[in-house]
Amino acid sequence: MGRFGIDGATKSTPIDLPGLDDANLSYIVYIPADIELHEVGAIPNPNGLCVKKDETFQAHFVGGLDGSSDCFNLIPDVVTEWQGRRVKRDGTFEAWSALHNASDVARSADETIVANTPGCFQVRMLMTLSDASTIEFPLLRKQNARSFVNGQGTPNIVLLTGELDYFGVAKGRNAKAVRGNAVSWLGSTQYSTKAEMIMNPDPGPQAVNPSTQNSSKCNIFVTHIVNQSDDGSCPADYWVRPALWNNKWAAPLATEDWFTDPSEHSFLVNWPPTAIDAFPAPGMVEATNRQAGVNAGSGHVGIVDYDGTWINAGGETVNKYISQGDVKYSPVNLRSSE
Amino acid sequence: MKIIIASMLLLISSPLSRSVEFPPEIVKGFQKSEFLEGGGIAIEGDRAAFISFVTNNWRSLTDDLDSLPPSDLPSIYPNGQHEYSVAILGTACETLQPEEYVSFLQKWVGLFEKDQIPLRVMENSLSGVTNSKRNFVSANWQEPRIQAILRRAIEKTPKASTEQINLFTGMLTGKCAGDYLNSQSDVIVRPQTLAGVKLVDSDLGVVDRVKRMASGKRSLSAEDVDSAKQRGITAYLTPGGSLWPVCVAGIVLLLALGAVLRGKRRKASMR
Repeated sequence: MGRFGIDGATKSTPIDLPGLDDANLSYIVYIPADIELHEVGAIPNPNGLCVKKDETFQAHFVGGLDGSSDCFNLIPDVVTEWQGRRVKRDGTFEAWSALHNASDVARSADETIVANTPGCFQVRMLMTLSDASTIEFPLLRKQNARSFVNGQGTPNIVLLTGELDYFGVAKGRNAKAVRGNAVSWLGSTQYSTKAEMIMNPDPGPQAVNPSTQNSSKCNIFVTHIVNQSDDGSCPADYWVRPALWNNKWAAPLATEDWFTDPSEHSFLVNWPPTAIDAFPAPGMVEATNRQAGVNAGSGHVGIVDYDGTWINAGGETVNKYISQGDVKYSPVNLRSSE
Repeated sequence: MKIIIASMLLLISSPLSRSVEFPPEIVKGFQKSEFLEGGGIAIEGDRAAFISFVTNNWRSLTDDLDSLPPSDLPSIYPNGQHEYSVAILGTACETLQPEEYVSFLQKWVGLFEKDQIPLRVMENSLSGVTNSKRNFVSANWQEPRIQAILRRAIEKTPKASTEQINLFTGMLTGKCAGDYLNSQSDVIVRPQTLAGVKLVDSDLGVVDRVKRMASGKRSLSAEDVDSAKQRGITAYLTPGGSLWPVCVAGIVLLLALGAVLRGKRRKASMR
C-alpha cells in the first residue's frame, strides 16, 4: 500500500492512495502543504492581508513539490471549507464559522471570499476526506512580523514564524488607509521617548509647545497617522485646550481623548467611540486610560493592525508588541472612523 | 588563633555574607515585571512589597547584580533576561528619595563603567522611566554630584553612540532643563529637586522667563515669581497663568486716573 502525507497541517497526516498500491512497497511520502491568503491578482503581502468591508480576497491551498497545489488533486473525494474566527478586545475569539456560503463548500484548492464583516480573523481550511476524517490547515505566519519586539528586546511571541496568522477587514476606506499608513512607520524611532519633536515651530502667544523629549509620544503618533491618512472626510482634532496646560492650546490629542467618552479635551466627531462589545478592526484607534493595566501609571494608544496587534509608538520604536487582551493594557476602548 | 579570627573576618566580609535572600514573591517580581510601551513599569504581584524590598536592599543588590533572578520574558538580546532584571532594579530604585537616588546613581554609573550594566539601562536611569524621577537628572544639572555622574557616563559611552552622548551632554549643560522649562506649563508636576537646586536652565534665566511671561508666551510658578521679586522684578501670577488681566486692569486704572486728572484741570481752568 503506497501512502502519501501532507505536512504542515495540525499534524502530518498520511492518506491512503489506492492508485499507488504496490504489494512490494510500503512507504509514505510527505509533501509540504500550507494555506495562504492574498488580494485578488496579487501575491501574499508580508505585512499581512488587510481589505475593507465588501472587498474580495483569495484563499489558496498550497501543497506540491514545486509549491503548486498539485497534491490536492491526488486526494480523492475531498471536501474543503474555509473558516474564520474574530478576535475580541479581551483576546478571546468568536466561534469558528464559514467564510463563504455553504453552497461553496466543495472540492476546491482555491476560494474567493467576500469580506463582509469588519474585524481581525484567524483562518483555517478544513479538509474532509472520503473516510469522514478531517484535516485542519491553519493559516500560519511565514515569517516574523515586522517590529515584533518592544524597547527592551522582548518579542511578542504570537508574531513569530509558525504562529497563527490573520486577515483583517477594515470598516471603510479611511480605516484601511490609516492602518496602511501606520504600517509604514513600523520600526521608526522618530516617536521614541527620547526623541525631541517640535509640534509647532511657532505656537504663538496663546499656545504651548509641550516638551516632548523624555515623554511617551504614542498620542502624537496616532494623531499624526490619523490626519496624514485621511482623505479629508475624517480628520481628528489636532490642537486641544486641556486644563493641564492652563486651558491654552497645546499638544495633539492625549491618550485620554481617545479613551474617554466624551473625549476629555475634544469632541472627535469623526472618530466616535464604538459599542462596548464591538470587535477591534484594522485602522481603529485603541486606547487604555491612565490607570490601566497592572500597576501602570500611564495610558497608551495605538492603531489596530490586521492581526489585532496595536501599531504603537513605544519607548524605542513604532512596534507591534501589544496584542488584544494584554492585561497590562486593559481595559481598552475603541474609536473608529468610516 | 590568628588564622581562625582571620577566617571569621573573611567570612563576615565576604560577598556571600552580604547576599540578599529573595522571598518567592520578590523572585516573581523580577521574573514577571515588565516595562510598558506607554512609559512606566508593571510590577508583578505586590507592588508595595517589591518596591520596599528593592529600596531597602539596593546597596546589597547592586553589590551582586548576578544574584538577581533573571526575567522570564524572552529577549532578543544576548544576556537580555539578566539585563531586564537589572533594568527592573534600576527603575524600582527611582522611588528612592532624591538624596538617596543620587547615591544610587553614583553607584550605578560605577557599574556602568565596569560594564556590569548596559548603556540602555544607564540611559533609562538618567532619563527616568517613571514619573517620580523623569527629568530628575536634567532638572538638577547644576548639582556637582549630578555633574560628576553625567561626566562619567559621557566618558564611558562609546563615541559611536552619538544619540546618547548628545542626550547626556544636553543634561550636563542644562539644555535639557531649558527645553523642558520653556515648554512645560507650571501646573504640571515638576521633577524633584535636590536641596538648594532651582529649576533653571543655562540659556534662559529667570529674568528672561519673566520677560516671556510679560509677552504672554508662558506663565510662571509662584517660586519663579518669588525669585523674580528678589531680583527687583515685579511679576504677577494670575489664576490663568496669564498677565493680560493685570494689563487690562492697569490700563483701566491709567485711563481712570487720566480722566480724574483731566477733570481736575477742567475744574481749575473754569475757576
